[in-house]
Amino acid sequence: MESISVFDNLLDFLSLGAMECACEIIGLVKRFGPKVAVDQLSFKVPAGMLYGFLGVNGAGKTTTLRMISGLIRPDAGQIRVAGIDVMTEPQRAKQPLAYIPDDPVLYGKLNPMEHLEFVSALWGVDPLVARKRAQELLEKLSLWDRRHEWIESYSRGMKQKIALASALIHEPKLILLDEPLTGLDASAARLVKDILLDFLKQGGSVILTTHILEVAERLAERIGIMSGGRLIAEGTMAQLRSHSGQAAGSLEDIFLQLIQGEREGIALPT
Amino acid sequence: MIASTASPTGSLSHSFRVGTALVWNDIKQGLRKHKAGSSWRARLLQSGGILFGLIFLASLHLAAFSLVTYTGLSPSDDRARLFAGLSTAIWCFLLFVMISGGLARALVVLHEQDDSNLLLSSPVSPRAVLAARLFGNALQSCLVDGFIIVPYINIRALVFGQLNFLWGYAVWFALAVIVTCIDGLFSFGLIRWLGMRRARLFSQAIPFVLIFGVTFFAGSMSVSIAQMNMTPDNTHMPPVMQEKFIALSHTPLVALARAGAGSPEYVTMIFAAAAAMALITLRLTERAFIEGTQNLAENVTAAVPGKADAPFRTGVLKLEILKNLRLIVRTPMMAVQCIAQVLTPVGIAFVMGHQDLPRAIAFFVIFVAGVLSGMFTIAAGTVEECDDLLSMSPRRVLLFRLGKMLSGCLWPLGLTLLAVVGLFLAGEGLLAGTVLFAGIPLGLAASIVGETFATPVKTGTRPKLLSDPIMMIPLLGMQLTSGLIAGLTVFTAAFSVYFLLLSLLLSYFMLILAVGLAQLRKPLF
Repeated sequence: MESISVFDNLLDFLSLGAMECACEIIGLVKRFGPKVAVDQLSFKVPAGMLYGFLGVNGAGKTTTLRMISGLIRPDAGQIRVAGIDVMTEPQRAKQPLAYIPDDPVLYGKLNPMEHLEFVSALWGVDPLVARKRAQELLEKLSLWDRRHEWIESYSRGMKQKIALASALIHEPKLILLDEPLTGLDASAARLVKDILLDFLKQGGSVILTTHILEVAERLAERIGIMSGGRLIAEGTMAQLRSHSGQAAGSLEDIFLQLIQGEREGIALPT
Repeated sequence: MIASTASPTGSLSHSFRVGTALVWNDIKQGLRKHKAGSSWRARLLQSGGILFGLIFLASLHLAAFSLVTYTGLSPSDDRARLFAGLSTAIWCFLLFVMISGGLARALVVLHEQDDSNLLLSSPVSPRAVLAARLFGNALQSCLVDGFIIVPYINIRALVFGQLNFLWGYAVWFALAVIVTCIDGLFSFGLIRWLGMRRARLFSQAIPFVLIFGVTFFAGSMSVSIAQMNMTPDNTHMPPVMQEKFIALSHTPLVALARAGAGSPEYVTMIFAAAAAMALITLRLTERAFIEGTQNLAENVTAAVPGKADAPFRTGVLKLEILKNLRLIVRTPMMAVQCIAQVLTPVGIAFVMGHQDLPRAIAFFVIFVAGVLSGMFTIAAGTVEECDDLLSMSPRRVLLFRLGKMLSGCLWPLGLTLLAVVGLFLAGEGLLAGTVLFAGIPLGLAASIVGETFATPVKTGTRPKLLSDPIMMIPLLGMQLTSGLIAGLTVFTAAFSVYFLLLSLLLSYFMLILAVGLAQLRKPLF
């Protein structure tokens, strides 16, 4: 069992190295005063992959996403988005990137067209192209009929759709999603998932944090589990199962075991 | 494969385009915030607001006309200097109000905008975002404080035909840029040294401490109303007051007045100072803008649970009042605001009742009754989640609202009654009556208005109390109205009982207006 796991890991390492990288994190560290929020974090997200980023509250997931998006400067380490260093060339690195925080900010007093046109202007999209894309996205998200209403009158699910449209309007290569399914009903959640899968099919990459482990299990090709600012486990579902010794375990079982083990100081094979 | 059709985003033209779009976005949203709803109530409210604004501006124009005419009619050996001093005083007043109000605005506009995540995670240069924010803040500062200078410019230029005073509009904006930069730099410093939470508290207190200081200083310099001879044959500016204006025209501050009058070298100087300040601010604060606030926002110490909030128990008015009183006292920002607010009338009272202690006390108490009743009620109504609580106890809405109002006006009106007794025992019967009959209805009116305007916060969001510029409008209204009524009643009490009765009627008119407003916005009955 263990030898297979090592062999798998080796293969995995070689295959990851050969793939084009959407995002690469090396030795990332972030402190807030005495608290170490992210500690020596390293991982790679190959192009065209959905990477699930899991952890309990305060594990450092959001801080990591904010560092990747250039909102927070790390204390140490490197972040590359599509091969471009976020620290040395922030504007270039942000061009192929879209970040949707857990509570996305939308301009409540604008209608969705105005909002999307403004967001696309931030990324320098030609206004005519932006208008066309905005229309396409709103039609796809079933919001075209309500395009004249102000966003503040929308439901939580509709607002989440607008946030997603804002992320897609400039055709990014990597989307960072922080808890995108929180508060969505089943149909809205399904729509978001479909859009993400569509985006992946077109060659885009996604880093997604979520507390809904079934979603991560179903959508993510690779999963990273964080605790106390450190990455305590990372790999495909098969690798995580082998890592935790639960051959038929669900992601939830594995996650809870790993977190519990981490809390109790039980070392697991890496 | 995804193909990006985006154009280069690092260019100056792109930064300019985005900056313009951002400012336009803010303006558009700001205007839409005040757009009336479709109901007749909303339209009536907005029409009333517009009418009030127009009357207010017309009154200020009339006041500016009177001031200029009064100064012009006053016999003086050095009329040019007298007018220069007058202009300097008005420009300094504008500068001072801009600086004092701008700090709270700078904190909100530069550090607490919800869209920072979106803007700073985009490839737009953070400097462009910062520049747009500063520009927008300067515009806002211009609009908010414009009521001080616009009437003066208009009267000098359009009524008295001194068209060179139209330069005042350009100087007005340049001054707003300078002030915005000063306040912006100061806000970054405050956050760095004190942290966001304390910086917010400071930004609330500093303007009022400044107002107190300046009015106290002006009070010690000015001629007291109580000492002025107001007979019909003595309507010119007293020589002692003229001397003070002329002395002001010899200070470096006269540069503002000269620039406002279109003097080329001074206009150039003000614009150069504005440009230099803008460049320095952008240079010094860009880095802090990108990461400082973000880091602090992550690292900010949370409010101590149970300190500013308390569980709501339905049904008992007494419990509701007690809870609100505790809430008001334990909300640090509220406490700071109230203490700071209380300082303001002390300064004004010094001007109004220089060397006349009972009159100063009467003014102070009426003002405090009006302002604090409103503020306490706003505090009780905004810090907790009213919507949720109301939906849980739908039958007790009126009780709930009455509880808020009563807890808001209980302490200020208690103070008013104490002052009434004190003044009466001191043999100042007329002033005691003035405080009683002006202070009580004013306090009740302010409490009703406070409750009407209090905006409940949503679960999980920080209280918007006083940090939201919108909340400053009812507060400013309360201050102006309270100051007006307090000044008028105390002033008329010194001269004529009949005028006093008329001015007291104004206080009751305010109460009726407040009830009417409450009926229109959220019906009480």
